[in-house]
Amino acid sequence: MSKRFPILLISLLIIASVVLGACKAAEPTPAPPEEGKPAEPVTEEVTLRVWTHQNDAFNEGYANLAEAYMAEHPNVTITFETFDYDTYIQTLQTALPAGTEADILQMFGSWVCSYVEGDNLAAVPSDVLSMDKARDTVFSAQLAGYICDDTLYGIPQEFNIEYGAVLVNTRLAQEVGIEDIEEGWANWDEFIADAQKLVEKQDDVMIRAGYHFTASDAIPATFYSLILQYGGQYLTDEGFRVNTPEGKQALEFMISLVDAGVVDPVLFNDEENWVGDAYFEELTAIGLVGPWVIPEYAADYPDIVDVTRYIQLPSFSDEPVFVASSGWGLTVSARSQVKETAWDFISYAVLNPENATQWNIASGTLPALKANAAGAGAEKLMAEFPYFEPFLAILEYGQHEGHFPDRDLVWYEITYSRILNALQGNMSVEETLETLEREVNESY
Amino acid sequence: MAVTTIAKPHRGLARFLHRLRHGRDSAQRQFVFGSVSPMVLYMTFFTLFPMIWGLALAFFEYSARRSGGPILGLGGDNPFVGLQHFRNMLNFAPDAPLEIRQFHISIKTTTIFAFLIVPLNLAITLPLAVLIESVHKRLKGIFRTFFFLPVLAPSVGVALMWGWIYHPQRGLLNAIRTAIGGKLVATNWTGDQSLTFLGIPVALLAVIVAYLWQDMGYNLVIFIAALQGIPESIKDAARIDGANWWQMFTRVNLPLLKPTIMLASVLTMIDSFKVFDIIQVMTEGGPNEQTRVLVLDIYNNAFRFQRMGWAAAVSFVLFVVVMAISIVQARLLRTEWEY
Amino acid sequence: MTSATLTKPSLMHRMRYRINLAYFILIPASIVAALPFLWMILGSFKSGREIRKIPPTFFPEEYTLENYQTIFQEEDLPLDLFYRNSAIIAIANVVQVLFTSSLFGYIFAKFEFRGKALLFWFIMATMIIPSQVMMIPGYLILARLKLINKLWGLIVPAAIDAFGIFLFRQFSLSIPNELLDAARVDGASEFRIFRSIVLHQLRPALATFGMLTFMFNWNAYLWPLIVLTEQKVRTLPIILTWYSNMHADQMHLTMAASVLVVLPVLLVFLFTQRWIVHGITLTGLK
Repeated sequence: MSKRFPILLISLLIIASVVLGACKAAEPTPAPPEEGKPAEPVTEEVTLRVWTHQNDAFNEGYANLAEAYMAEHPNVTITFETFDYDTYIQTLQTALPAGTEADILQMFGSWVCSYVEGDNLAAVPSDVLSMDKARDTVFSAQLAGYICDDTLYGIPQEFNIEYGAVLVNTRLAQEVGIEDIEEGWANWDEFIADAQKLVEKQDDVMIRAGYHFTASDAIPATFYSLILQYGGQYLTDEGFRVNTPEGKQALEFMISLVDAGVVDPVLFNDEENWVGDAYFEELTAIGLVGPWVIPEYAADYPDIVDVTRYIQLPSFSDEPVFVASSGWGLTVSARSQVKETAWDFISYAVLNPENATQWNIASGTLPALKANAAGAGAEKLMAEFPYFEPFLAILEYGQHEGHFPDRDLVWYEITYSRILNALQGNMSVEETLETLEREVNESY
Repeated sequence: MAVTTIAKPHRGLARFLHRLRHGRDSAQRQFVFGSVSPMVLYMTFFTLFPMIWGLALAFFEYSARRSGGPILGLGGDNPFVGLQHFRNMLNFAPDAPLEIRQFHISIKTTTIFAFLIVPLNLAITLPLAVLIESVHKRLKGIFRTFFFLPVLAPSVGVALMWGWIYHPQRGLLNAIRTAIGGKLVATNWTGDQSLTFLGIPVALLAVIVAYLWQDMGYNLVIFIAALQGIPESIKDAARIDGANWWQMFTRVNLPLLKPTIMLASVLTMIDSFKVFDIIQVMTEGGPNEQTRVLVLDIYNNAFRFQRMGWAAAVSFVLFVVVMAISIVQARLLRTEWEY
Repeated sequence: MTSATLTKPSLMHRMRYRINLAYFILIPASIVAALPFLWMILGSFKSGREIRKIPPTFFPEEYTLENYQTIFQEEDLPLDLFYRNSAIIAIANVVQVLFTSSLFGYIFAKFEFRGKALLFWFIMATMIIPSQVMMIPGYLILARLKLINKLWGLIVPAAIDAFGIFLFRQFSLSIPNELLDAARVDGASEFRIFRSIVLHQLRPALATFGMLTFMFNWNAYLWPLIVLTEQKVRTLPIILTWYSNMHADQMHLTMAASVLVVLPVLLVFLFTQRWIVHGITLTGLK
């Protein structure tokens, strides 16, 4: 018998060696001390690999910065690898334990801590940016995502905002006889009245929505912001709580918008007629989505962009508080062999206010640096994007959404789908809040 | 099995040849050893090893995000949980954790999907095969090509095509209904969870129609070939006996095709249990998980939410289902041989 | 339903009637079957303005080639690169799978060696395992071999096709031993015999199975979706979904891109359909 399997035996041995060997390679290996630190001569050729998600406007901003940086540092070569959003998460999640990632990783702030968990990301050296200085210079809603256990692991580049102001098609507003839409709304009743006027129906089918707030970012942003505006909190010491009076108020208010007929959540949601598409196709007159959509559509829909204004939404509280995710920023892999250069590039790109503004202009995003939300930086931005104005005014009211083990699961798989369910009338308010609360708590 | 009898050769030559083929001839041994041993190595690494790994994963709370223990990242942060995943699958409480309820939904949806696909497929392809077989020889090829074309199209393309047919405002289907009714209709075929037909979500039916359209060409081609295999004499005899079209179909074609039909049903069913592409592109499992199928559940858990241990356990269930159907298939094949 | 009218006329007459009836069903059925293709092709010639009409038009009011120009000019969608990626993977896999399948099929058919039965049984057993079951460990292995986001990642683990080995074993059984022995007597090496005699005998099977393998690889979606996440290594089917996500409501562009992905397969098929149909009826394989 034993003679029959020499081949098998040999192959098993080989596999065992591959498995164990590969494991060794996969273990997080801190940068070898003997060659990493002591002397990194300036003239040494350094290649910085950067991973980003696929967004043309963003990546153009990076390319500009990299070019300028390489001109100043001829020994550095910066290369970019891009991934579309869905697969970027998957790539990061498996590349990091396997150790195949780039030196600089573009991250969405809300993901950062889940990667820190496996010792995958390098902490920001205090000479690059100390925690105190960070709190002074960066908006707290944006910084919060990058802080895990009181340590800073990256620097945000944009203020990610999905609530607070809405896209408004002023031409359509004029067509239906609303002349003063650019003056904004004092309260929700005024807003709803305008939105209702903008709805267009044919044979009982909504062919144009008044207010599209039913996409997968808009629903959670609205729901959690409303809870804050009603004076509640959804993250408490006992965990995640939405089955509360404020949660009920928030959801009932959202349902009342649907009942007022401003949107048909069966025809307008994330899968069908997504808010960006719907807005630029004039399938909705008002849409709730962050300002990053405009550069995405500007080339194809210049005439719509011309008549577009962002207008601040009414608020239930005196200060228009809203929930924000920590936006896109840059982090450095814990395994990078060129950390020093990596941080140098990051601070060049992100902390230098002028460069940061330049990137915000290229990518069409709001600044994460407080200094750039006012003064010269803000002026430059507004010269380029006049529609930023209502956002710049409210950035300070942003509150970080909080840390979740899997933020995308909580946001899209649970919050969006459960609340859409309620808006479509397939589930009662109580049942929805109960399910939502239970499912989010399970994810911890 | 490889032994073949050689037609009356010289005795000595026969022995020589026999030695050549089965004996200790070193050239042959080298050839076989040189080819087979790399294959064994390769298959051990790329087939056997992942099989074992996949099975092992089902017993761990594994996520590729965590480094875990020294061997394959199992253990440590990715703890051994024994049969926990499989026990969880049997938790039918209405407030069971999300991924368990999603698993139950996917099992149910996949089963409905497969059990609708098979009869619908046969109900279309069998008569169609008989009809095509009955037309003029030249046209036969053209028709066959026609119905077979969708099989070759990438399923992503098919999903996009059909997604646009079902589009509520700009889709072909609603356009036809609007044209007929004279009144704008915007039914959201793949996105309105409140629509059902005979208790089955319309979104699922919409996906089934697209899947059938793409998939039926296989069985069609197989049935046409089987029909061609029916001896002309039997058909003639039936005709002379005055059998009509229907009698020909039920008394001659169906009984003679029975083994083929059985085999085709089993293969179709196995494939529909593995459906992914069309559904992921068309509905992503929605609305409200009405089209969530097993492979989508595995994919989402493993690659979107990093619950690889749980996903491996779900994969194991898929494996068991497919194996059960395959065993039925093996039985059917054996009975076919007995005839 | 037609039996009453069918009993009386002569056999010839009856047959003609039946055939006419068949056309009555077949022609409308073919039109229905072709509709989705037509809808896609016509859509690809509509302008962006026209495609957004509610309700939509069926035939374009004005045929335009603009969509095709646009997608070929789009910089972040280098279609030629994705064609190339798809082609490299498909061709490499066809070549290696044909080689291994024919070689091992031949060996299993014509040679005896230790562990043959066990090995053959194992290979046959792997056919039952759905590839979806292997995708998680398969992905983890590729991650450790650092083959994620490499075209190699889709080629290296795909060298053995259990079904191919089974198929070529069946075909090799019918190769006459005399032929092989004659070559041996002439002093040909074993590999030479395989290369020049066995492969020659297996030519029709190679053509059929090669076509099926090509089609399978060209259309593959789930596995490339998992392994190839970086933009520049993606293949056509996965770029198509990315494209439709990016241009969710620019269906005219998506349809033009779909036509360009679907069309090559259909064209290749029209020239080789005999082989494919033959292969499917022969094997029942997808």
